[in-house]
Amino acid sequence: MIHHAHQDGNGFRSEVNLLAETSVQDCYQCGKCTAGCPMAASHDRPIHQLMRLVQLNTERARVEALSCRAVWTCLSCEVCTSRCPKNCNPAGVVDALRELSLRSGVANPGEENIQRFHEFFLNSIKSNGRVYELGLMMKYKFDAGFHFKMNTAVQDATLSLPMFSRGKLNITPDKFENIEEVRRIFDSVEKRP
Amino acid sequence: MDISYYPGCALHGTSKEYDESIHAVCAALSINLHELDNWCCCGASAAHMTNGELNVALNARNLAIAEKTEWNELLAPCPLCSGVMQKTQKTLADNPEKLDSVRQVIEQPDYRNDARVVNILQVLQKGIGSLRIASNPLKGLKCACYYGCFLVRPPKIVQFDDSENPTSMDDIMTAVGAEPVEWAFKTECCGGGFTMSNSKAVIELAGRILSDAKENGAECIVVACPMCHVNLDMKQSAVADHLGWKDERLPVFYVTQLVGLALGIDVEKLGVKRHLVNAMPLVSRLAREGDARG
Repeated sequence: MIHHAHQDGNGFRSEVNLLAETSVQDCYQCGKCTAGCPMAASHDRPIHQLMRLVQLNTERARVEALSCRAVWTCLSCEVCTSRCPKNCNPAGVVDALRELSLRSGVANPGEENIQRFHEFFLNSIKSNGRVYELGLMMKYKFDAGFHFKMNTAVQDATLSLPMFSRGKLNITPDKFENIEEVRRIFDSVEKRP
Repeated sequence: MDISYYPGCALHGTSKEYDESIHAVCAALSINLHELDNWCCCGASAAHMTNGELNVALNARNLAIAEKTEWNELLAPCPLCSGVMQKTQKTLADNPEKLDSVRQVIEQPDYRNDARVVNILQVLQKGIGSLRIASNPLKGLKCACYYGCFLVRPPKIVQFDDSENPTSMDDIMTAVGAEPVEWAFKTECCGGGFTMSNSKAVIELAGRILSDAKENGAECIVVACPMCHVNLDMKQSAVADHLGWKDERLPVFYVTQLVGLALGIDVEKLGVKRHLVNAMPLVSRLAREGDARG
């Protein structure tokens, strides 16, 4: 993709600015966001570099930003946004990148566990109106097992018994009456371009 | 006083004791909680991290229900729920076209976007006079007040306390006789919603929080967030292995559980026995010391 390096990222920057309700152009790369980031050590791209990639707005920068692992390993803890001296919204920028990376199908496969968890979580809301924790946990674990991710599948298995015995896991979903109303919200959001 | 109440999914499930202790404490402080009819999930991390529009729509739906009640305030004790609600309100206030569009999505043409969302510390602050004269003050209890992320961040959205060195929970604990310790990890993230999907990160981050609390002399941690509780309490044995702790454990309480104990509410009603880290030895010690003081 080297020959595309200087191509315009097809409105990438404006799309991120719109979703994150910010203006990444204001960022002057001081690095304060990265300095406070609890995940900085494990990110493949520190947050100030993600800001820079959006500023660059080239096709290569777009693909690099959308396909990195950091958009998934970010916790959305909001330290970066709280401390930004230029009033940018780095946490919102990462939310936007995550959303765009799913939409454009370039989400990093190395962080599939996190992506699957978000997906199952939203499915649980769509089916039950509220999150059905036991169902969500079982689906996530079975899916991991099915994909031979045994560490993920058995992790925390010893917690389920004490959680049951302390009444922390409900066997059935919470009672919710207006499920059609919630499904119409999902449908109407999913229908948009 | 009467307020609307949005428990959120966790308080009906893994964090029942938070819900139980909120009900018990509010009853003692003559605060009547009115649970929203047919509230749905706020979308949590999954919606706000991957689908901004869905996040706004789910929250606007719940806020529209709150607007129709006769109560002025909506208590959302889970800071992630209250945080995404407030973020939604800001987005819709700043973007009239998004407000028009969400009114259609949630089928509420008259949605005004003006509910007042409050967290549990704001509710407890109102009763601080009654807390100061609590019957069973927690004298001598060294606690680390842990605020986490969304109670205080981002400050422009939540507009509550100080985002770098908050003190509201410390003030509440001081009012009931406890001694909050000075420590460095009041607002460091515990790993939030990564409990299942990135356990390695949670163990690392929760480990730093637990060791700093312990090194600064805390006997327990006080939280106001169900996810913080999961990561610090439920995951504590895994974290302890990582830290090389032997039998040492730090009980993790919801702020309403400790306030409830100080108000003389029965430990069963506060759900303290639901914790994975056994908090009962500490609770019994406090009771013995209280009896000895008379």
